[in-house]
Amino acid sequence: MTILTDLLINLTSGFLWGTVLGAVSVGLTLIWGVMKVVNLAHGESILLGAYVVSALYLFLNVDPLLAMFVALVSGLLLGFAIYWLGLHKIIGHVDVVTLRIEMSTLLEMFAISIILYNIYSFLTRSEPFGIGIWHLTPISYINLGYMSIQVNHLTAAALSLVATFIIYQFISKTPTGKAIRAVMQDSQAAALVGINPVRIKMLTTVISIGFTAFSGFLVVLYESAVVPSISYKYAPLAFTIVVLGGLGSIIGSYIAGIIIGVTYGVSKVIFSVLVSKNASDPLALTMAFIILVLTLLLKPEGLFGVKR
Amino acid sequence: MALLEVKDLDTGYGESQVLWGVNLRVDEGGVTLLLGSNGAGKTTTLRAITGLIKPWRGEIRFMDRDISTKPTHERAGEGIIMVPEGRRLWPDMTVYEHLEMGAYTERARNRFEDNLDFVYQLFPVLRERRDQLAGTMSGGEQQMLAIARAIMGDPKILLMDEPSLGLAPSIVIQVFNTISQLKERGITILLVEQNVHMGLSVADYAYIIENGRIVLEGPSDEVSQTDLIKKSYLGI
Ligand SMILES: Nc1ncnc2c1ncn2[C@@H]1O[C@H](COP(=O)(O)OP(=O)(O)OP(=O)(O)O)[C@@H](O)[C@H]1O
Ligand SMILES: [Mg+2]
Repeated sequence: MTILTDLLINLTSGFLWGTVLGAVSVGLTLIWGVMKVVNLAHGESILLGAYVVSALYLFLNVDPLLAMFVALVSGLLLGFAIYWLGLHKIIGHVDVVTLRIEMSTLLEMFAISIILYNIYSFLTRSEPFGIGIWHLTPISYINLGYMSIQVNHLTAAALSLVATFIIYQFISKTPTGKAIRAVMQDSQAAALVGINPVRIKMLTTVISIGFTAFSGFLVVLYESAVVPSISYKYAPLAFTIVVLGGLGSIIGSYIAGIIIGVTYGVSKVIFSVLVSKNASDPLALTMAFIILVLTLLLKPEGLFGVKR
Repeated sequence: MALLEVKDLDTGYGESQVLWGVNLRVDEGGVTLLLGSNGAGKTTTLRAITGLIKPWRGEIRFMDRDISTKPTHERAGEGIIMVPEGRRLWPDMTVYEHLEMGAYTERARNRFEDNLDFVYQLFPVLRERRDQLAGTMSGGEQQMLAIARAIMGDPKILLMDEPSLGLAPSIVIQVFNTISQLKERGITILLVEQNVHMGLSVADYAYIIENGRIVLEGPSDEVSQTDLIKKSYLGI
Protein backbone atom coordinates (compact mmCIF):
# COMPACT_ATOMS: atom_id res chain seq x y z
CA MET A 1 0.00 0.00 0.00
CA THR A 2 1.43 3.35 -0.98
CA ILE A 3 1.57 6.25 1.42
CA LEU A 4 -0.85 8.15 -0.81
CA THR A 5 -3.59 5.54 -0.51
CA ASP A 6 -2.84 5.31 3.17
CA LEU A 7 -3.31 9.06 3.42
CA LEU A 8 -6.54 8.96 1.45
CA ILE A 9 -7.92 6.19 3.64
CA ASN A 10 -7.07 7.97 6.86
CA LEU A 11 -8.38 11.25 5.51
CA THR A 12 -11.71 9.63 4.72
CA SER A 13 -12.08 7.80 7.98
CA GLY A 14 -10.78 10.83 9.90
CA PHE A 15 -13.47 12.92 8.24
CA LEU A 16 -16.21 10.42 9.10
CA TRP A 17 -15.02 10.10 12.68
CA GLY A 18 -14.79 13.91 12.81
CA THR A 19 -18.51 14.27 12.09
CA VAL A 20 -19.21 12.04 15.10
CA LEU A 21 -16.80 14.09 17.21
CA GLY A 22 -18.57 17.23 16.03
CA ALA A 23 -21.97 15.97 17.13
CA VAL A 24 -20.48 14.78 20.42
CA SER A 25 -19.28 18.35 21.11
CA VAL A 26 -22.48 20.24 20.30
CA GLY A 27 -24.13 19.51 23.66
CA LEU A 28 -20.99 20.51 25.51
CA THR A 29 -20.67 23.85 23.74
CA LEU A 30 -24.27 24.72 24.60
CA ILE A 31 -24.14 23.89 28.30
CA TRP A 32 -20.74 25.56 28.65
CA GLY A 33 -21.73 28.64 26.69
CA VAL A 34 -25.09 29.21 28.33
CA MET A 35 -24.59 27.94 31.87
CA LYS A 36 -20.89 28.69 32.23
CA VAL A 37 -20.88 25.21 33.71
CA VAL A 38 -18.08 22.94 32.63
CA ASN A 39 -19.77 19.58 32.24
CA LEU A 40 -17.25 17.20 33.71
CA ALA A 41 -19.81 14.42 33.24
CA HIS A 42 -19.79 14.88 29.48
CA GLY A 43 -18.13 11.57 28.74
CA GLU A 44 -20.58 9.73 30.97
CA SER A 45 -23.53 11.49 29.28
CA ILE A 46 -22.23 10.20 25.94
CA LEU A 47 -21.95 6.70 27.38
CA LEU A 48 -25.52 6.81 28.67
CA GLY A 49 -26.86 7.02 25.12
CA ALA A 50 -24.44 4.38 23.88
CA TYR A 51 -25.47 1.96 26.62
CA VAL A 52 -29.19 2.61 26.31
CA VAL A 53 -29.18 1.86 22.58
CA SER A 54 -26.96 -1.20 23.02
CA ALA A 55 -28.99 -2.66 25.87
CA LEU A 56 -32.27 -2.20 24.03
CA TYR A 57 -30.77 -3.83 20.95
CA LEU A 58 -29.12 -6.74 22.73
CA PHE A 59 -31.78 -7.60 25.28
CA LEU A 60 -35.03 -6.53 23.60
CA ASN A 61 -33.98 -6.58 19.97
CA VAL A 62 -35.07 -2.98 19.47
CA ASP A 63 -33.88 -1.44 16.22
CA PRO A 64 -31.11 1.05 17.04
CA LEU A 65 -32.76 3.60 14.75
CA LEU A 66 -35.73 3.48 17.11
CA ALA A 67 -33.61 3.14 20.24
CA MET A 68 -31.76 6.35 19.39
CA PHE A 69 -34.89 8.26 20.38
CA VAL A 70 -34.90 6.45 23.71
CA ALA A 71 -31.24 7.47 24.08
CA LEU A 72 -32.29 11.06 23.49
CA VAL A 73 -35.04 10.82 26.09
CA SER A 74 -32.71 9.16 28.61
CA GLY A 75 -30.33 12.09 28.15
CA LEU A 76 -33.14 14.61 28.62
CA LEU A 77 -34.02 12.86 31.89
CA LEU A 78 -30.39 12.79 33.01
CA GLY A 79 -30.15 16.50 32.20
CA PHE A 80 -33.26 17.14 34.23
CA ALA A 81 -31.85 15.19 37.17
CA ILE A 82 -28.46 16.89 36.98
CA TYR A 83 -30.13 20.28 36.90
CA TRP A 84 -32.44 19.76 39.85
CA LEU A 85 -30.07 17.68 41.99
CA GLY A 86 -26.91 19.58 41.26
CA LEU A 87 -27.13 22.88 39.50
CA HIS A 88 -30.38 24.55 40.51
CA LYS A 89 -29.52 25.49 44.05
CA ILE A 90 -26.37 27.16 42.80
CA ILE A 91 -27.51 28.66 39.51
CA GLY A 92 -31.14 29.32 40.35
CA HIS A 93 -30.20 31.74 43.09
CA VAL A 94 -27.12 33.38 41.75
CA ASP A 95 -27.59 37.10 41.94
CA VAL A 96 -27.59 38.20 38.29
CA VAL A 97 -25.46 41.27 38.91
CA THR A 98 -22.61 39.76 40.85
CA LEU A 99 -22.69 36.50 38.90
CA ARG A 100 -19.59 34.48 39.51
CA ILE A 101 -18.69 31.18 37.96
CA GLU A 102 -19.13 28.89 40.88
CA MET A 103 -16.42 26.41 41.69
CA SER A 104 -18.99 24.20 43.35
CA THR A 105 -20.77 23.41 40.05
CA LEU A 106 -17.49 21.93 38.88
CA LEU A 107 -17.27 19.68 41.91
CA GLU A 108 -20.88 18.58 41.53
CA MET A 109 -20.42 17.63 37.89
CA PHE A 110 -17.28 15.76 38.86
CA ALA A 111 -19.19 13.79 41.49
CA ILE A 112 -21.93 12.93 38.99
CA SER A 113 -19.30 11.79 36.52
CA ILE A 114 -17.67 9.45 39.02
CA ILE A 115 -20.99 7.98 40.13
CA LEU A 116 -22.08 7.25 36.56
CA TYR A 117 -18.68 5.86 35.63
CA ASN A 118 -18.82 3.38 38.47
CA ILE A 119 -22.36 2.34 37.66
CA TYR A 120 -21.34 1.64 34.06
CA SER A 121 -18.24 -0.27 35.16
CA PHE A 122 -20.26 -2.36 37.59
CA LEU A 123 -23.03 -3.19 35.13
CA THR A 124 -20.76 -4.04 32.19
CA ARG A 125 -17.82 -5.35 34.27
CA SER A 126 -15.88 -2.86 32.13
CA GLU A 127 -16.16 -5.22 29.20
CA PRO A 128 -16.97 -4.01 25.68
CA PHE A 129 -20.69 -3.60 25.20
CA GLY A 130 -22.41 -2.47 22.05
CA ILE A 131 -24.50 -3.07 18.98
CA GLY A 132 -21.64 -4.84 17.27
CA ILE A 133 -22.30 -5.85 13.71
CA TRP A 134 -25.70 -4.21 13.42
CA HIS A 135 -25.99 -2.25 10.22
CA LEU A 136 -28.60 -0.37 8.33
CA THR A 137 -28.35 -2.17 5.00
CA PRO A 138 -27.91 -5.82 3.96
CA ILE A 139 -24.33 -5.05 3.07
CA SER A 140 -22.00 -3.84 5.78
CA TYR A 141 -19.29 -2.33 3.58
CA ILE A 142 -19.26 -0.03 0.59
CA ASN A 143 -16.31 -0.21 -1.75
CA LEU A 144 -14.81 3.13 -2.71
CA GLY A 145 -12.01 1.68 -4.80
CA TYR A 146 -9.16 2.80 -2.57
CA MET A 147 -10.89 1.52 0.55
CA SER A 148 -14.13 0.07 1.77
CA ILE A 149 -16.18 2.02 4.26
CA GLN A 150 -18.41 0.58 6.94
CA VAL A 151 -22.03 1.43 6.30
CA ASN A 152 -22.30 2.19 10.02
CA HIS A 153 -19.68 4.90 9.70
CA LEU A 154 -21.56 6.49 6.83
CA THR A 155 -24.84 6.22 8.76
CA ALA A 156 -23.23 7.84 11.80
CA ALA A 157 -21.89 10.69 9.66
CA ALA A 158 -25.24 11.27 7.97
CA LEU A 159 -27.19 11.19 11.25
CA SER A 160 -24.69 13.52 12.92
CA LEU A 161 -25.25 16.03 10.13
CA VAL A 162 -29.04 15.78 10.32
CA ALA A 163 -29.11 16.02 14.12
CA THR A 164 -26.72 18.96 14.20
CA PHE A 165 -28.74 20.71 11.52
CA ILE A 166 -31.94 20.25 13.52
CA ILE A 167 -30.51 21.60 16.77
CA TYR A 168 -28.89 24.47 14.87
CA GLN A 169 -32.25 25.40 13.34
CA PHE A 170 -33.84 25.17 16.77
CA ILE A 171 -31.27 27.48 18.36
CA SER A 172 -31.24 30.02 15.54
CA LYS A 173 -34.88 30.16 14.48
CA THR A 174 -37.28 29.38 17.33
CA PRO A 175 -38.21 31.87 20.08
CA THR A 176 -36.83 29.51 22.74
CA GLY A 177 -33.61 29.09 20.78
CA LYS A 178 -33.23 32.85 20.52
CA ALA A 179 -33.87 33.18 24.24
CA ILE A 180 -31.11 30.62 24.83
CA ARG A 181 -28.71 32.68 22.74
CA ALA A 182 -29.74 35.87 24.51
CA VAL A 183 -29.09 34.31 27.93
CA MET A 184 -25.77 32.96 26.65
CA GLN A 185 -24.61 36.37 25.44
CA ASP A 186 -25.97 38.51 28.28
CA SER A 187 -28.31 36.99 30.82
CA GLN A 188 -28.95 40.29 32.58
CA ALA A 189 -30.17 41.89 29.35
CA ALA A 190 -32.25 38.78 28.75
CA ALA A 191 -33.96 39.07 32.14
CA LEU A 192 -34.68 42.73 31.40
CA VAL A 193 -36.75 41.89 28.31
CA GLY A 194 -38.76 39.33 30.28
CA ILE A 195 -36.86 36.10 29.69
CA ASN A 196 -36.63 33.92 32.78
CA PRO A 197 -32.90 33.07 32.78
CA VAL A 198 -33.28 30.29 35.33
CA ARG A 199 -35.87 28.51 33.20
CA ILE A 200 -33.72 28.91 30.10
CA LYS A 201 -30.73 27.48 31.95
CA MET A 202 -32.73 24.47 33.04
CA LEU A 203 -33.90 23.93 29.49
CA THR A 204 -30.38 24.28 28.16
CA THR A 205 -29.05 21.68 30.57
CA VAL A 206 -31.80 19.27 29.57
CA ILE A 207 -31.38 19.84 25.83
CA SER A 208 -27.56 19.72 25.96
CA ILE A 209 -27.38 16.49 27.87
CA GLY A 210 -30.19 15.00 25.78
CA PHE A 211 -28.28 15.79 22.61
CA THR A 212 -25.08 14.45 24.14
CA ALA A 213 -26.73 11.12 24.97
CA PHE A 214 -28.04 10.99 21.41
CA SER A 215 -24.50 11.52 20.17
CA GLY A 216 -23.52 8.52 22.30
CA PHE A 217 -25.64 6.47 19.91
CA LEU A 218 -23.48 7.77 17.06
CA VAL A 219 -20.37 6.81 19.02
CA VAL A 220 -21.48 3.21 19.53
CA LEU A 221 -22.60 3.06 15.90
CA TYR A 222 -19.12 4.15 14.92
CA GLU A 223 -17.19 2.09 17.45
CA SER A 224 -19.46 -1.04 17.42
CA ALA A 225 -18.89 -1.36 21.18
CA VAL A 226 -17.84 0.87 24.06
CA VAL A 227 -16.10 0.50 27.41
CA PRO A 228 -16.47 3.05 30.23
CA SER A 229 -12.93 4.31 29.72
CA ILE A 230 -13.79 5.45 26.21
CA SER A 231 -15.12 8.56 27.94
CA TYR A 232 -11.49 9.45 28.67
CA LYS A 233 -10.96 9.65 24.93
CA TYR A 234 -14.14 11.42 23.84
CA ALA A 235 -14.62 13.94 26.64
CA PRO A 236 -11.18 15.61 26.36
CA LEU A 237 -11.51 15.68 22.58
CA ALA A 238 -14.91 17.33 22.93
CA PHE A 239 -13.43 20.00 25.22
CA THR A 240 -10.74 20.70 22.63
CA ILE A 241 -13.31 20.89 19.86
CA VAL A 242 -15.53 23.30 21.79
CA VAL A 243 -12.61 25.65 22.39
CA LEU A 244 -11.49 25.40 18.76
CA GLY A 245 -15.01 25.94 17.42
CA GLY A 246 -15.80 28.85 19.74
CA LEU A 247 -17.80 28.58 22.95
CA GLY A 248 -21.52 28.33 22.25
CA SER A 249 -21.22 27.92 18.48
CA ILE A 250 -22.97 24.82 17.15
CA ILE A 251 -21.66 25.12 13.59
CA GLY A 252 -18.24 25.93 15.03
CA SER A 253 -18.24 22.73 17.07
CA TYR A 254 -19.31 20.59 14.15
CA ILE A 255 -16.64 21.98 11.84
CA ALA A 256 -13.99 21.85 14.56
CA GLY A 257 -14.93 18.20 15.13
CA ILE A 258 -14.22 17.45 11.49
CA ILE A 259 -10.95 19.41 11.65
CA ILE A 260 -9.84 17.38 14.66
CA GLY A 261 -10.94 14.11 13.02
CA VAL A 262 -9.04 14.89 9.82
CA THR A 263 -5.99 16.07 11.77
CA TYR A 264 -6.06 12.80 13.65
CA GLY A 265 -6.29 10.78 10.43
CA VAL A 266 -3.51 12.66 8.66
CA SER A 267 -1.13 12.75 11.61
CA LYS A 268 -1.65 9.04 12.11
CA VAL A 269 -0.20 8.41 8.67
CA ILE A 270 2.67 10.81 9.24
CA PHE A 271 3.57 9.31 12.62
CA SER A 272 3.36 5.73 11.42
CA VAL A 273 5.93 6.61 8.76
CA LEU A 274 8.10 8.79 10.99
CA VAL A 275 7.86 6.80 14.22
CA SER A 276 6.05 3.49 14.21
CA LYS A 277 2.64 2.04 13.56
CA ASN A 278 2.08 1.38 17.26
CA ALA A 279 2.97 4.87 18.42
CA SER A 280 0.95 6.57 15.70
CA ASP A 281 -2.41 6.43 17.47
CA PRO A 282 -1.51 8.13 20.76
CA LEU A 283 0.71 10.60 18.93
CA ALA A 284 -2.12 11.48 16.54
CA LEU A 285 -4.43 12.05 19.49
CA THR A 286 -1.79 14.28 21.05
CA MET A 287 -1.99 16.46 17.95
CA ALA A 288 -5.56 17.35 18.93
CA PHE A 289 -4.30 18.78 22.21
CA ILE A 290 -1.51 20.65 20.50
CA ILE A 291 -4.28 22.28 18.48
CA LEU A 292 -6.01 23.14 21.76
CA VAL A 293 -2.91 24.91 23.08
CA LEU A 294 -2.40 26.72 19.77
CA THR A 295 -6.04 27.87 19.73
CA LEU A 296 -5.77 29.23 23.25
CA LEU A 297 -2.59 31.09 22.34
CA LEU A 298 -3.52 32.41 18.89
CA LYS A 299 -7.32 32.65 18.76
CA PRO A 300 -8.74 32.20 22.26
CA GLU A 301 -12.30 32.99 21.11
CA GLY A 302 -12.14 30.04 18.69
CA LEU A 303 -12.94 29.83 15.00
CA PHE A 304 -16.58 30.88 15.28
CA GLY A 305 -16.69 32.49 18.71
CA VAL A 306 -17.52 36.08 19.47
CA LYS A 307 -14.65 38.35 20.41
CA ARG A 308 -15.38 40.12 23.68
CA MET B 1 -50.85 59.35 40.39
CA ALA B 2 -47.54 57.79 41.33
CA LEU B 3 -46.78 55.01 38.87
CA LEU B 4 -43.64 53.95 40.70
CA GLU B 5 -42.62 54.55 44.28
CA VAL B 6 -39.35 53.70 45.99
CA LYS B 7 -39.69 53.86 49.76
CA ASP B 8 -36.85 53.96 52.32
CA LEU B 9 -34.70 51.76 50.14
CA ASP B 10 -31.45 50.33 51.53
CA THR B 11 -29.44 48.02 49.35
CA GLY B 12 -25.93 47.22 48.11
CA TYR B 13 -23.63 44.47 46.95
CA GLY B 14 -22.42 41.69 49.21
CA GLU B 15 -21.49 43.36 52.48
CA SER B 16 -21.23 46.93 51.28
CA GLN B 17 -24.25 49.16 51.47
CA VAL B 18 -24.70 51.59 48.56
CA LEU B 19 -28.18 53.10 48.99
CA TRP B 20 -29.32 54.62 52.28
CA GLY B 21 -33.04 55.25 52.70
CA VAL B 22 -33.76 56.32 49.13
CA ASN B 23 -37.22 57.73 48.49
CA LEU B 24 -38.34 58.45 44.98
CA ARG B 25 -41.59 58.65 43.04
CA VAL B 26 -42.29 58.72 39.36
CA ASP B 27 -45.58 60.16 38.18
CA GLU B 28 -47.34 58.88 35.13
CA GLY B 29 -46.59 60.56 31.83
CA GLY B 30 -43.55 62.69 32.60
CA VAL B 31 -39.79 62.47 32.57
CA THR B 32 -38.19 62.15 36.00
CA LEU B 33 -34.47 62.75 36.19
CA LEU B 34 -32.00 61.14 38.58
CA LEU B 35 -28.77 63.12 38.72
CA GLY B 36 -25.57 62.31 40.53
CA SER B 37 -21.84 61.96 40.10
CA ASN B 38 -19.90 58.76 39.43
CA GLY B 39 -20.56 56.05 41.98
CA ALA B 40 -23.42 57.94 43.65
CA GLY B 41 -25.77 54.96 43.31
CA LYS B 42 -27.87 55.80 40.23
CA THR B 43 -27.39 52.47 38.48
CA THR B 44 -27.90 50.66 41.78
CA THR B 45 -31.26 52.42 42.20
CA LEU B 46 -32.37 51.32 38.73
CA ARG B 47 -31.18 47.77 39.39
CA ALA B 48 -33.28 47.64 42.52
CA ILE B 49 -36.31 48.90 40.57
CA THR B 50 -35.87 46.22 37.89
CA GLY B 51 -35.14 43.53 40.46
CA LEU B 52 -31.57 42.79 39.39
CA ILE B 53 -30.68 43.30 43.05
CA LYS B 54 -32.93 42.79 46.06
CA PRO B 55 -33.78 45.50 48.56
CA TRP B 56 -32.31 45.03 52.05
CA ARG B 57 -34.94 47.25 53.55
CA GLY B 58 -37.79 49.34 52.22
CA GLU B 59 -40.19 48.79 49.39
CA ILE B 60 -40.66 49.21 45.68
CA ARG B 61 -44.24 49.85 44.62
CA PHE B 62 -45.53 49.79 41.06
CA MET B 63 -49.13 50.75 40.27
CA ASP B 64 -49.85 50.64 43.99
CA ARG B 65 -48.59 47.13 44.54
CA ASP B 66 -45.44 45.99 46.32
CA ILE B 67 -43.19 44.31 43.74
CA SER B 68 -40.04 44.08 45.89
CA THR B 69 -39.84 40.29 45.76
CA LYS B 70 -40.68 39.81 42.09
CA PRO B 71 -37.92 38.60 39.78
CA THR B 72 -36.70 40.84 36.96
CA HIS B 73 -38.45 39.04 34.10
CA GLU B 74 -41.84 39.32 35.81
CA ARG B 75 -41.33 43.03 36.31
CA ALA B 76 -40.59 43.31 32.58
CA GLY B 77 -43.86 41.48 31.99
CA GLU B 78 -45.65 44.21 33.94
CA GLY B 79 -44.07 46.93 31.85
CA ILE B 80 -40.97 47.95 33.81
CA ILE B 81 -38.38 48.09 31.04
CA MET B 82 -34.80 49.33 31.21
CA VAL B 83 -32.23 50.56 28.73
CA PRO B 84 -29.22 49.42 30.73
CA GLU B 85 -25.97 51.26 31.24
CA GLY B 86 -23.50 50.31 28.51
CA ARG B 87 -26.36 49.15 26.23
CA ARG B 88 -25.82 45.44 26.89
CA LEU B 89 -26.81 44.18 23.46
CA TRP B 90 -26.34 40.57 22.39
CA PRO B 91 -23.34 41.00 20.09
CA ASP B 92 -23.97 37.87 18.04
CA MET B 93 -27.66 38.52 17.37
CA THR B 94 -29.12 40.59 14.57
CA VAL B 95 -30.92 43.91 14.84
CA TYR B 96 -34.25 42.28 14.04
CA GLU B 97 -33.68 39.54 16.62
CA HIS B 98 -33.14 42.25 19.23
CA LEU B 99 -36.48 43.78 18.31
CA GLU B 100 -38.20 40.39 18.44
CA MET B 101 -36.67 39.50 21.79
CA GLY B 102 -37.46 42.97 23.11
CA ALA B 103 -41.12 41.96 22.65
CA TYR B 104 -40.68 38.66 24.50
CA THR B 105 -43.38 39.20 27.11
CA GLU B 106 -47.02 38.51 26.36
CA ARG B 107 -48.20 42.09 26.67
CA ALA B 108 -45.38 43.25 24.37
CA ARG B 109 -46.11 40.54 21.78
CA ASN B 110 -49.66 41.78 21.49
CA ARG B 111 -48.41 45.21 20.46
CA PHE B 112 -45.55 44.00 18.28
CA GLU B 113 -46.63 45.53 14.94
CA ASP B 114 -47.50 48.91 16.45
CA ASN B 115 -44.28 49.21 18.36
CA LEU B 116 -42.22 48.00 15.41
CA ASP B 117 -43.71 50.73 13.21
CA PHE B 118 -42.93 53.31 15.86
CA VAL B 119 -39.36 52.07 16.29
CA TYR B 120 -38.69 52.09 12.54
CA GLN B 121 -40.13 55.59 12.32
CA LEU B 122 -37.84 56.75 15.16
CA PHE B 123 -34.76 54.98 13.79
CA PRO B 124 -35.11 54.25 10.05
CA VAL B 125 -31.54 52.96 10.06
CA LEU B 126 -32.67 49.91 12.06
CA ARG B 127 -34.99 48.85 9.24
CA GLU B 128 -32.12 49.03 6.75
CA ARG B 129 -29.78 47.18 9.10
CA ARG B 130 -32.24 44.56 10.28
CA ASP B 131 -29.93 41.65 9.44
CA GLN B 132 -26.73 43.19 10.79
CA LEU B 133 -25.17 41.71 13.93
CA ALA B 134 -25.39 44.12 16.86
CA GLY B 135 -21.74 43.67 17.73
CA THR B 136 -20.67 45.12 14.38
CA MET B 137 -22.60 48.40 14.72
CA SER B 138 -21.24 51.80 15.74
CA GLY B 139 -21.73 53.07 19.28
CA GLY B 140 -24.53 55.44 18.26
CA GLU B 141 -26.38 52.77 16.33
CA GLN B 142 -26.01 50.39 19.25
CA GLN B 143 -27.56 52.93 21.60
CA MET B 144 -30.48 53.37 19.22
CA LEU B 145 -30.94 49.62 19.10
CA ALA B 146 -30.83 49.42 22.90
CA ILE B 147 -33.58 52.05 23.10
CA ALA B 148 -35.53 50.34 20.31
CA ARG B 149 -35.34 46.97 22.06
CA ALA B 150 -36.76 48.56 25.20
CA ILE B 151 -39.61 50.25 23.28
CA MET B 152 -40.51 46.86 21.78
CA GLY B 153 -41.14 45.75 25.38
CA ASP B 154 -44.10 48.17 25.44
CA PRO B 155 -42.95 49.93 28.61
CA LYS B 156 -45.33 51.43 31.13
CA ILE B 157 -42.22 52.92 32.64
CA LEU B 158 -38.95 53.20 30.78
CA LEU B 159 -35.76 53.39 32.84
CA MET B 160 -32.83 54.84 30.91
CA ASP B 161 -29.33 54.60 32.38
CA GLU B 162 -27.06 57.26 30.88
CA PRO B 163 -28.20 56.78 27.27
CA SER B 164 -25.91 59.57 26.01
CA LEU B 165 -22.73 58.24 27.62
CA GLY B 166 -19.74 58.04 25.29
CA LEU B 167 -21.59 59.21 22.19
CA ALA B 168 -20.62 61.92 19.68
CA PRO B 169 -22.35 65.29 20.31
CA SER B 170 -24.61 64.97 17.26
CA ILE B 171 -25.78 61.54 18.45
CA VAL B 172 -26.35 62.88 21.96
CA ILE B 173 -28.76 65.44 20.49
CA GLN B 174 -30.51 62.65 18.60
CA VAL B 175 -30.86 60.61 21.81
CA PHE B 176 -32.46 63.55 23.61
CA ASN B 177 -34.79 64.17 20.65
CA THR B 178 -35.84 60.56 20.96
CA ILE B 179 -36.55 61.01 24.65
CA SER B 180 -38.81 63.97 23.81
CA GLN B 181 -40.64 61.87 21.22
CA LEU B 182 -41.13 59.03 23.72
CA LYS B 183 -42.50 61.57 26.17
CA GLU B 184 -44.94 62.83 23.54
CA ARG B 185 -46.09 59.28 22.96
CA GLY B 186 -47.02 59.19 26.62
CA ILE B 187 -44.29 56.85 27.87
CA THR B 188 -43.29 57.50 31.47
CA ILE B 189 -39.53 57.82 31.79
CA LEU B 190 -37.05 57.65 34.65
CA LEU B 191 -33.83 59.04 33.21
CA VAL B 192 -30.36 58.79 34.71
CA GLU B 193 -27.95 61.30 33.21
CA GLN B 194 -24.64 62.99 33.78
CA ASN B 195 -25.42 65.49 31.05
CA VAL B 196 -27.03 67.95 33.47
CA HIS B 197 -28.07 70.63 30.95
CA MET B 198 -29.78 68.28 28.53
CA GLY B 199 -31.20 66.15 31.32
CA LEU B 200 -32.83 69.07 33.14
CA SER B 201 -34.19 70.54 29.91
CA VAL B 202 -36.14 67.40 29.04
CA ALA B 203 -37.22 66.48 32.60
CA ASP B 204 -40.28 67.55 34.57
CA TYR B 205 -38.98 66.58 37.98
CA ALA B 206 -35.48 65.86 39.26
CA TYR B 207 -33.72 64.08 42.10
CA ILE B 208 -30.11 64.58 43.08
CA ILE B 209 -28.35 61.60 44.63
CA GLU B 210 -25.03 61.80 46.49
CA ASN B 211 -23.29 58.92 48.27
CA GLY B 212 -26.39 56.79 48.09
CA ARG B 213 -28.72 59.41 49.57
CA ILE B 214 -31.24 61.71 47.87
CA VAL B 215 -30.06 65.20 48.79
CA LEU B 216 -32.38 67.36 46.72
CA GLU B 217 -35.56 67.04 44.72
CA GLY B 218 -38.06 69.26 42.96
CA PRO B 219 -39.51 70.37 39.63
CA SER B 220 -36.59 70.58 37.20
CA ASP B 221 -36.83 74.33 36.55
CA GLU B 222 -36.59 74.93 40.31
CA VAL B 223 -33.79 72.41 40.78
CA SER B 224 -31.75 74.04 38.03
CA GLN B 225 -31.86 77.34 39.96
CA THR B 226 -30.49 75.89 43.22
CA ASP B 227 -26.96 76.67 44.40
CA LEU B 228 -26.12 72.96 44.63
CA ILE B 229 -26.80 72.42 40.95
CA LYS B 230 -25.14 75.65 39.89
CA LYS B 231 -21.97 74.99 41.88
CA SER B 232 -21.50 71.23 41.77
CA TYR B 233 -23.04 70.23 38.49
CA LEU B 234 -23.13 73.21 36.13
CA GLY B 235 -19.92 74.78 37.41
CA ILE B 236 -21.35 78.31 37.45
N1 LIG C 1 -21.75 44.79 40.61
C1 LIG C 1 -21.25 45.47 41.65
N2 LIG C 1 -20.63 44.83 42.65
C2 LIG C 1 -20.12 45.49 43.71
N3 LIG C 1 -20.18 46.83 43.85
C3 LIG C 1 -20.78 47.56 42.89
C4 LIG C 1 -21.34 46.92 41.73
N4 LIG C 1 -21.87 47.88 40.95
C5 LIG C 1 -21.65 49.04 41.58
N5 LIG C 1 -20.99 48.88 42.75
C6 LIG C 1 -20.61 49.94 43.69
O1 LIG C 1 -21.76 50.62 44.11
C7 LIG C 1 -21.53 52.02 44.19
C8 LIG C 1 -22.58 52.75 43.37
O2 LIG C 1 -22.43 52.38 42.01
P1 LIG C 1 -23.46 52.74 40.89
O3 LIG C 1 -23.06 51.95 39.71
O4 LIG C 1 -24.83 52.61 41.38
O5 LIG C 1 -23.13 54.27 40.64
P2 LIG C 1 -23.63 55.25 39.51
O6 LIG C 1 -24.24 56.41 40.19
O7 LIG C 1 -24.46 54.53 38.53
O8 LIG C 1 -22.26 55.70 38.84
P3 LIG C 1 -21.85 55.95 37.31
O9 LIG C 1 -22.26 57.33 36.99
O10 LIG C 1 -20.38 55.79 37.31
O11 LIG C 1 -22.54 54.93 36.49
C9 LIG C 1 -20.12 52.25 43.71
O12 LIG C 1 -19.30 52.41 44.84
C10 LIG C 1 -19.76 50.97 43.00
O13 LIG C 1 -18.38 50.70 43.15
MG1 LIG D 1 -24.22 54.01 36.57
